[in-house]
Amino acid sequence: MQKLLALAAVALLTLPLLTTSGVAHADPVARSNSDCAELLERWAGDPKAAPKRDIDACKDQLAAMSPTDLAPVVADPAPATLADTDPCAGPNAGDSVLCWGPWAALAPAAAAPLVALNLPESPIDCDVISELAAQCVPKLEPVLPIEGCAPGTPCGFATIVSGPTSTGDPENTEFGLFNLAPDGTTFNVSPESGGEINAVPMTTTVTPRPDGDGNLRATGTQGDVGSRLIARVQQDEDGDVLLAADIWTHGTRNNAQSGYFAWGTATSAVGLNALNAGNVTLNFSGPMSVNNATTGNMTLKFGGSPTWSGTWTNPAYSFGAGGVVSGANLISQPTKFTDNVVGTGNFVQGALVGEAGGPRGIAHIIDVTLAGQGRIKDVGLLREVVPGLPIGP
Amino acid sequence: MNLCKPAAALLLIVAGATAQAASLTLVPSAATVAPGGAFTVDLVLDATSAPGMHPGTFSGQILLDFNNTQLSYGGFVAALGASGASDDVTFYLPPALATIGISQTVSFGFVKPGDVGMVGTFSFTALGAPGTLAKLGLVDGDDFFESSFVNKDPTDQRFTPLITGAQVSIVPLPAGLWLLGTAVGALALRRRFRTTAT
Repeated sequence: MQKLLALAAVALLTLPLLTTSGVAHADPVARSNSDCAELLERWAGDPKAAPKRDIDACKDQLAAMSPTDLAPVVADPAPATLADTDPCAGPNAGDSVLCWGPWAALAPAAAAPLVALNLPESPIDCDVISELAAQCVPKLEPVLPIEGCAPGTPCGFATIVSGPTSTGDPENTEFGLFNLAPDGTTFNVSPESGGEINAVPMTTTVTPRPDGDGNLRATGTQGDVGSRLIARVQQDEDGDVLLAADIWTHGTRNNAQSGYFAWGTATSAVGLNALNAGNVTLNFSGPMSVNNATTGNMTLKFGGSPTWSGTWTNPAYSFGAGGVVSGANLISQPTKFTDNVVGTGNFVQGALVGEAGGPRGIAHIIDVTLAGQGRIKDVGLLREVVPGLPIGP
Repeated sequence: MNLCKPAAALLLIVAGATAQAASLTLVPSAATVAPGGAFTVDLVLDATSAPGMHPGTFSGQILLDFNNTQLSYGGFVAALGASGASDDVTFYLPPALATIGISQTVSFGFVKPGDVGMVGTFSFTALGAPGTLAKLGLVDGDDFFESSFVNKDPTDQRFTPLITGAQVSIVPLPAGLWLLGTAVGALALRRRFRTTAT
């Protein structure tokens, strides 16, 4: 009996403790608004500062208050919102293993930017979902109307018209990529519209020009199909063509295609790095090929953000353009044209070809509409202007 | 009267077109030649109307053909420049002679500085009988794509010259020449007889 009485006494003594403990686990401790605000501030810095239910209770408590009620208890005069207090919405959320991530929406899937020619001048490719997003440096990835040139690879551009005359109405003139075998015995044209124009094997002759370059003539026929190149060339000591420009023709007697071209080997990555590291400025000049009364002058400024500018002067007109250099490629920016370039779709695209110490040039195409002149499409190989040396052809 | 104006306009158009066209022409040293006689034919280019810079440097390929029973080919000499070697006509394809039956051809590709002038000179000897009209045909030597001609200054620009051949008449020696020869022979014989008689 004494034992039973003792047990009853112990039970009576521990009951309040158990009850208090049970309440503590069942309901948050009632806090003042200021305590809640303080707790939330600590929680914002340390998600483990308090149990989630306490935090939720405080959030509910503060959310139920009017902004005027909050004013005295929150140091920040602005109302405390969930986003303000959520540690997983803060700038350091990426550092916390307790947070899912800082993003609020799904990032777009990785893909080539679908940007039309006259849309953003300098599309920025920056990984916005990366933890390094805050440190991301915008990278210029210009959109090229014609496929660009990879550093160190043979590359060129061409105009394409129907018939053997090489010249046609600009509206009926197409652009394409041009490639030439170093020995000049074959060439290839890839029109914008698709398809391939592959020359038949040709025999070549090269005779010297007074300016030190060579005159290349290459002809070949295979059955009813013939190919021909008439070009100005620069060769190395082995006779391989380094730079070439002017006329290509291919097809049958009754169904030929032809045009002009400018070709070389795009400057290597090592060469481009050296130019950028040295903040080098290069100047280029020379006649265009479709209308050789037009002289082009271009300046490329290498460095952290390489740019270019240029002018094209003809007895009947003149215009200017500028843009960015990306790798070996250069492309105009719509805002950098002179005022007489009108309408939409205007562009100048090119590539730096050749290496330091050897013949260098700019193989490029222009497609502009000039006020009072109409549309002009041309291709040209501008040669580097080396101080103290005469300008090449 | 009503026909005069259109005719005049047509003439002007024709004259204008003729003035615009570049030309490549054969110019014989004589219109007639005696059997066995030698003569030359100049190849003359006028490219003043060709596209590109002027004076320019012109390049193209030609093919000359003739009947080898009427004419014997003696060679082609490229023209020398008036102001030194830089003005000389050069070949990108050297002259080549080919024969198919009685047809003989000479072809070459040349580069000629200057807008107007001689590319070079062909040499021939007449073989045909008196009364023969020896024709010298001239065409573009690489007409697969219509024209092989370009002005190379400052860049290559195509043009199509108007190409004209030539013809030479093989004729008997003139009567006067026969009479002169007879007279000279007679005098020589007479002198010989007098000497013998003395």
